[in-house]
Amino acid sequence: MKSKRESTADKLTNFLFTIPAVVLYSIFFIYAVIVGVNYSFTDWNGIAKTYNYIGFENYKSLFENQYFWNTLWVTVKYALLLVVGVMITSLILALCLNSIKHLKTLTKSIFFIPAMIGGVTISLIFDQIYYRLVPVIGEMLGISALSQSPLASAKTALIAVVFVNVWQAVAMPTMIFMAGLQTVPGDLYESAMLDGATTFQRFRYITLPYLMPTFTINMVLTIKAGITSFDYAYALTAGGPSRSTTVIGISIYNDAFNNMKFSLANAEAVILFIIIALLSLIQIKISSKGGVN
Amino acid sequence: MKKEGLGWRIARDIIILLGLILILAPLYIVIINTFKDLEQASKGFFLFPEQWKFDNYVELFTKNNFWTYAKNSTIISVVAIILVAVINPAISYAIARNFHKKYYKAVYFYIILGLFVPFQVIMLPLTKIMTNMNLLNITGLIILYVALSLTKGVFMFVNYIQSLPLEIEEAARIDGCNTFQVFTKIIWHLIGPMLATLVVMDVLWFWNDFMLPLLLLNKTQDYWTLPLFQYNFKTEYSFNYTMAFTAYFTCMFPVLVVYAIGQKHIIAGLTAGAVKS
Amino acid sequence: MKRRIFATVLSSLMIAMAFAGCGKDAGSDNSKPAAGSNNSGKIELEFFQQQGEEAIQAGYEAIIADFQKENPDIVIKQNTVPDSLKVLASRIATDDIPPLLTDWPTQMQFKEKVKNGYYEKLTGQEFFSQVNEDYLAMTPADDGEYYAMPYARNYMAVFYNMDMFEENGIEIPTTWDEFIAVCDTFKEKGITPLNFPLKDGVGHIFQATTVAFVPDGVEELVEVQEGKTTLSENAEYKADFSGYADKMMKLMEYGNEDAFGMSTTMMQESFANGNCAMIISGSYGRGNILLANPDMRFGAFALPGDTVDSTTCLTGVNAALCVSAQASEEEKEAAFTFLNYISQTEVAQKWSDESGEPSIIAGTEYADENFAPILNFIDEKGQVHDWMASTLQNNVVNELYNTVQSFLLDKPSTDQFLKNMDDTIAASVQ
Repeated sequence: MKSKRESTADKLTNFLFTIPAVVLYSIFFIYAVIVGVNYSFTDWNGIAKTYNYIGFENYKSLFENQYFWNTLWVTVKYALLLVVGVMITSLILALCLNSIKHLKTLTKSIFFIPAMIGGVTISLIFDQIYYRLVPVIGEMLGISALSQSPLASAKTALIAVVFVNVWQAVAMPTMIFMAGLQTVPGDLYESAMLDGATTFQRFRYITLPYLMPTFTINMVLTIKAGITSFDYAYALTAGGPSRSTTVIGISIYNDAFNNMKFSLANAEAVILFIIIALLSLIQIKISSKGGVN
Repeated sequence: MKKEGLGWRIARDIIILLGLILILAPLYIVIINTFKDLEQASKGFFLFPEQWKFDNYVELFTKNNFWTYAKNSTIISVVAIILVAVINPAISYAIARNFHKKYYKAVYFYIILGLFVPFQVIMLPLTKIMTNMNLLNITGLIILYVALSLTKGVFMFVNYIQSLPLEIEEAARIDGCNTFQVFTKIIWHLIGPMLATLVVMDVLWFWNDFMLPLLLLNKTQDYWTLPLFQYNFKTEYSFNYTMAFTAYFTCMFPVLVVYAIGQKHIIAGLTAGAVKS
Repeated sequence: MKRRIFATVLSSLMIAMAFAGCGKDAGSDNSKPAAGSNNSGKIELEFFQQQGEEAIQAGYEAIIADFQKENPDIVIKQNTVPDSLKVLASRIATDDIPPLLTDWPTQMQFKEKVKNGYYEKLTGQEFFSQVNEDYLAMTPADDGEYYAMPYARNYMAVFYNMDMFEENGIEIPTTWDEFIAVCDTFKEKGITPLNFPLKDGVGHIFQATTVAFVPDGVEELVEVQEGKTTLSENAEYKADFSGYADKMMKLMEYGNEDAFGMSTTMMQESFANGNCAMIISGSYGRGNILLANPDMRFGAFALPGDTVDSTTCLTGVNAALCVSAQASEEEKEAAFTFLNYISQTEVAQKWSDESGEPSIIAGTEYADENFAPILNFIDEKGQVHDWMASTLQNNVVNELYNTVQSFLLDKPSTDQFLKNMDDTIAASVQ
């Protein structure tokens, strides 16, 4: 492109390519965000026909509320568990799947099945499994921790919820990692092999750098999924027991639709937005170093 | 890539085997229980049914407008994904190749911004906008999906297109192709893997989404999609879980069939090494 | 080149038109669900019905069909969605209210909607003469006017397995001590006396037990909500809720080990399968239990307080029908016609039989005589109390659920429990 000067028509084509997207996005996304943020500065309860602007009152009352801090802490734990669970599992699975020779296609397709199933559906299924199957397994293996549904205890409920989320969410990153593995030039491996590099060394010095771009995509998507998660905890525990799984998504939902605190819910959502933005920026900064372009 | 350590191979096979069990066991439980009545299921949740019963399926298909919901879900998913697959690469290509220009850079960041916005912020404003525009119907939902697909799509494609080698494009331009032709004839093929990824991700989102259909399509059951119908079982048949499993499984079934037929394509699309420099 | 561009624009337009067509197709037979009348003089009314239970939907469906025969010009379309509270909240927030709907008139959220003019005033309508006065008296809004026609009631009670009671020669207990004695008898015989659904059902257990064990408990909590006192400070309230805590701990001894993993539906299933002798359940549980075990013989009695006289039963209006103030005059007329129709004794009786819900329309009788004891108790003794949400804020109630769940799970000291209750109310009150 540098070599040839662009024609006007080409410029116009490029410009036209962006128009439908920008228009749709502006109306149905940006405008909605502005309206939503606007509500966070009001005292609207979702029912009243009028509302007043109250500045940062909603934010202030959130930061003074112990339950909100608890909610944030649960959300952070949830996201950490999810990111660790999904990233490690999907990376390992991608490496494993990529290297098998027999029944590769079939195995891959089975591993992708969870991605086909919606979060609510799989939660409802696991709810039954936790209640009916886990105690039986616990009894068989003689593990007292598994004598009842893991959702029943404040100590294990969060892990049990994240487990279901990981079960469902791991498939897509695995496939993306596998796509990323295809970008690693095969001849690099061969020369490394000739130099006597171990499996781990090959992974560390060849595979990993090439996986960096896909790593970023997976990481950003998983962090966001973890912090905004709602479906799983809602369908499995509705936030309990003892608020141990009340992630911010559930808190927003309850405040908006059950507690007549709509503007407060929007303030929570805005805080969530800020957290995600900060985390993602840090993440992108970090992973943009050390990748292969 | 010939020899690999024995330890690694054993570990790998064990991991894969464990993974297979973890994935297949819940599905097995769901499927076998759809063929039981409650009484049988309570005897053995994960045993093979003593007697195969099809009552759940009969009830599901005769008592509900299952086919209407399936039709709605299909229309929404298919139409939305076609639009998504056209609009996302187009804008991403324009941005990726003009990133040095202010407008395109601005558009990029403008759209990427959405990546950070949790759905909860826009949930209610969006419903309000749709109500005012008289778009509380299937068309409205499709438009929304296309709009909401953009952040992820642009984020994925722009990086990807930037990583594609310029040589082929330049060769094509020397042969006299204009931007539009370069896009349709060359880029379109090169972005295959990413496009497949996006299409699969988004189709599954559209198909399984519960929240947006709930907020937009609640005027009459004639608009319902399968997830609404399925979730309704939570209240309507909360108790009868073999019946609920039947509903869950039936809603998954079309996706699984499409996947079984097209899985070669889907996974090949996701993993094929189309990027060669 | 220019032709190319033109082609692009044209084809995207065509795609846009193509999908616009699809949308119309999918809803063609029903393109104006809320808008009402069309040319043929027929009027169509969306009836947003909030109870998802299959039997209740079928009950309405049956009386709507009969209504149609008498009023061919009014088409009522029952619309029941999952998560209906959320959907209604979003429809209200976006000014898109169904013309005819069910809601819970004793709750504060309802009164808030009335205050903002969403519901049509119904005071003076003919159909009110058919409604049980005790329940009607629970429903006026803050301005003393009526905005909803109560149609059914609910209650929390002890459901008991009649066969188990008869086989072991056990009488229905009427005081707390008798109740505990019954539990002990079952325990001795190796039968689990009670099952608790503390995974998702702790809220209704809390409401039922508070009303039963502390007859003025809700009023005391309201005073705490208003900031007048706290449970820890006020000696009388402290004694009341300490007693409550003791009773709850005692009850837990008779419960199932997996109570915190058990959901309400799982509890119903367990009861239906004979795994326990009793459960504390809402009237809404009856249908599910019968689904699980159609042959089961079970009845209900009021959860006993210290004495027969102090025993109080939690009961309230279970969904009432309202009309949107924003509906057109025609729609309102049609809605009134429908309300008048369904308030007739025979119609309400048919609805009650079909849905299994206890009606509060004059002259109706509940078909299941095993439930006569509890209904008679409510009607004759008059010791009843409404649900908490009619005087406590929704978020206070919801947060209290969590606190009570923590109390039952972690078993802190009674003083700590009272302090937690105080803190919860202070933190969530608006």
